[in-house]
Amino acid sequence: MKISLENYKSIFEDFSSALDLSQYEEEKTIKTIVQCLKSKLEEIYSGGNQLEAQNDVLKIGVVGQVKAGKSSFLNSLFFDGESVLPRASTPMTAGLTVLRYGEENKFQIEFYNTNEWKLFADKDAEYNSLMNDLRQSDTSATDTELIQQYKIPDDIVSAHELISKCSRRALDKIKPEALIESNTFSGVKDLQSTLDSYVGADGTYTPITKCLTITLNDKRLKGIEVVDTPGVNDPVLSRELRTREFLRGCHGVFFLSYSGRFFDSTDVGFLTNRIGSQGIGSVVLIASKFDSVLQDVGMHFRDDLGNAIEDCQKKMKGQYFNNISSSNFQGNDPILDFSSGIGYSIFKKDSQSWDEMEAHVVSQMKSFYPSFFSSEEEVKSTFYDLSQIDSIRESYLEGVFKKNKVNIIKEKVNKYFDNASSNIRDAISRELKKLAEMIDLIENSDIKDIEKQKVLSAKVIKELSSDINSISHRSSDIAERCMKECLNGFTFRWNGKVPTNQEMKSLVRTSTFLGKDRTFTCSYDKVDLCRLEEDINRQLCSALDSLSNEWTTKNKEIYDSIFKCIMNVIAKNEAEDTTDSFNGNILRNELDEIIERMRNNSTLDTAGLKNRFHSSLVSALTGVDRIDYRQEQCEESVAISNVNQAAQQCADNVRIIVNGQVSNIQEEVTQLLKNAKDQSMSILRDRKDLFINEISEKVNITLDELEQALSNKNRTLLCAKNAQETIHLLESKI
Amino acid sequence: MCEECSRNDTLIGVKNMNTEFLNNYSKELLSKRDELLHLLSNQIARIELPSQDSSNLPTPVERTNHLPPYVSAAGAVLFVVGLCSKSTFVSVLGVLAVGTGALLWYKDKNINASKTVQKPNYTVLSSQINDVIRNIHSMISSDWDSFLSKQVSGIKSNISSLNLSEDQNNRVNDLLMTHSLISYPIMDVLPRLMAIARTGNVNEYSNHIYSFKEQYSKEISTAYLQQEICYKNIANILNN
Repeated sequence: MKISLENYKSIFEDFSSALDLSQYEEEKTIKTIVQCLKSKLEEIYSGGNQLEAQNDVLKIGVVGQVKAGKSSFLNSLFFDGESVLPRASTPMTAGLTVLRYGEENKFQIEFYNTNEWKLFADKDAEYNSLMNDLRQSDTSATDTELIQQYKIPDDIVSAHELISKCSRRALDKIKPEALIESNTFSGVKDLQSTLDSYVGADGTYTPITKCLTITLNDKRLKGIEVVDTPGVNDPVLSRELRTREFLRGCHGVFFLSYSGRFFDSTDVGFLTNRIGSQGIGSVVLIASKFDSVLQDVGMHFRDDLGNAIEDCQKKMKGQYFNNISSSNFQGNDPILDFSSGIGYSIFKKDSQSWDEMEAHVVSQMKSFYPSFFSSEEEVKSTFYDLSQIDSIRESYLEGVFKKNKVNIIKEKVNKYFDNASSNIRDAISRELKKLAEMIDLIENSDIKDIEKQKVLSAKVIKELSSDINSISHRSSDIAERCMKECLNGFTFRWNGKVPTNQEMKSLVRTSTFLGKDRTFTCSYDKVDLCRLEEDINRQLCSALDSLSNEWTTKNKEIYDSIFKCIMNVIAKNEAEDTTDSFNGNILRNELDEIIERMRNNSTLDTAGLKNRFHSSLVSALTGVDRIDYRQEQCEESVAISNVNQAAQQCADNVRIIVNGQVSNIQEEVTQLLKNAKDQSMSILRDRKDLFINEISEKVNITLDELEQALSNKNRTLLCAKNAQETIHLLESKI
Repeated sequence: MCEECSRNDTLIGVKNMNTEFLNNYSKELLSKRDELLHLLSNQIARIELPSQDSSNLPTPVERTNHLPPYVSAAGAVLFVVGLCSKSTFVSVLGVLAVGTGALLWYKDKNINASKTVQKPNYTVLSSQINDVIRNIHSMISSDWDSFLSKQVSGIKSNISSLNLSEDQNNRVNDLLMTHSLISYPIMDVLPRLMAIARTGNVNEYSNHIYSFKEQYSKEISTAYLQQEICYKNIANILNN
């Protein structure tokens, strides 16, 4: 039977009553297994309820990295460019903001509770002790330098920032149960002034604000809910959980990526892991703060805004296609567009009302492209065109999201229940396997051997503890060898081909008989930088992917050696146990899972390197394809030959730059591998004690439970077989 | 760094027998740091840059030849005047002037097209500097790695001869599982040099090289400091 919105309630009720926990009260192990399955079912059931309750509201998320311009974008979209949602300066002060439709204009603020605040306080204490140590060892460096140098984790730094910004008045609002305050407002200006103290950069209550909900009497919000998320990789865990929860129920997103580092590895990771996996169907990828890249290339495209826009868009599209094709993103390809949120507020306001940032952007753009910003009217019209806000509102908010609302919601619901069916099937087979293993263990064990088994297991774990220390200390040699082998196997050779397009160039002859200017054209091969960058990136991606696979394989050797050592210890003890009371399988089952988890953490992160290479190559090659020439006396044929020579010179320069960067990447790969080796060693060093404790704890629990089960062997077996039968029956219904 | 400061940086103050051998490693570490800083300065000093004067060539003044039309026009006027005044000499002079103008124009017909700007190739210069910086980094970082690998092996062998508890042994070996690295974002070098190439200001190259030296010296010192802290931690474990 297929689960759907119509039948999920009756199916889950049937399942819930079949999995009645009260009948397993006496049998803890069986109860745990059934409980696991039941929890999974309840999680899916509550997700279904949530979907049903909000079946008529289209949820749209605004996501992106910190400072990607999310708040500016929303201000432009709903508040006519007024800074109602403040541009947050740090990840810490950026809150979760919900915009929804309502008859009355009001807002609601939720503060952190005591427990959540205590977590920040603990991390702040950790920060202070760490920094004290570092300050003693390096007296000349500032705190900021120390943070960068010693790579202090974000969550610790952010917690310190949050605590240090928090005033006594704000602290009074932190209560055991999260305090919620709400208020009404008359208009945008009123809201703006009130919100400043809650979400503004220097607001009294900003550090303690967890979530803001604004209900607006704005018809554009009818039937939709828009959420401004704090940013990718939010260091505040409770807010991160809220964002995750929201994304689960989200139907579509505006994904904002800062044009200056467009669609980098963090963006790709977020899109793949957090959006693709949540079944969010419609994604509009906006290259935000587009004006900033136009300022960056201003020197090269003096007063040529059209070509500057074209060139920047071409490069960003290249970056986007390159990264999306090499990612594992599952879902429809995002729609790509460009926007300048600040451009819209410049357009909407009088020049006297521009804030410092807006005035600066205008003056920068004026200096690079004077013809396009010669009067206030032109400034406004050019910024309006760059902002694209009205077009985005019409094409995506109305055209993509609201117009297809019913279908988008339906698709999301269907996807959810399709996934739910497969998740339930997986959970059932996992729990059935556990039950079968348990039945097998009970049938083949005797309660008289349990005490002995406990003693022997403790002895084995003690041996393991000493062996794992010695093998981890020896493993740096294996890691060093693995690293060198990977480095020797890494080959990234550029074939040296510079792709070109034939282009025409107009040249001017100023000295005709009557002194009149006359133009003639000549063709030459212009370097196609976009194609070149794409080609090289493709070659590099493939080389780095092979390297990453190679590292995973080699790195496996380290963990295999640990695994082998552990298995030898278990086998040795099994052989030595003449009474046959030691069951090594209990240990083996637990170990398998823990080692696998450690192994999975030791991967080579090549995504960052790929992105850095791409952006550094783009930056190094900027302007290299442009031919410098000036008028001078020579014959036409000589002039044409000179232009071609210049084109050839461009190609040669491009070759020199690419070769330089290709050589540089060898050094970077060496560094990457050294870091990966260190990371692998650190995982081993930091987690080996944890590993031993975890095994010890798990084995003890298993043995205690086994002891209890064996105290009434027949009843336990009967109970386990009953549970097995019930779950089999449920399996057949899906 | 002054000699006194350098001495304070080592573990010389620690008197315990167990840790005495570490002082030698610490001293070697310090002298390795100084050696690498010296090597960095030497290598940097060997970079040769062209002078600003030779690189900023003045742009030749554009020359446009307006003579032929004027000569021809004057010739035509003379010819007409000659005809009107019935002066054969003036007419002939006019014809000659028109002919000269036409000849000059013919000679000048193929001029004033275009020519590339003859500038020093800053791309090549940037690439050469990039190569030097990369080689310096490669040389210094691998030297540091192999030096520390030898030190770590040495310390491990010294430790094995000491009568340490299992816990002490494990903690020391844990600390020796990794060593400090000299890392530098070498991929960012060429884009910065190319940005300078676009400005054509040779002085900027010097500034960049100077800032590389400063930054790299800091990287060396940081790596040294991290390793020194590691040795101090080992000494603490051995003393407890």
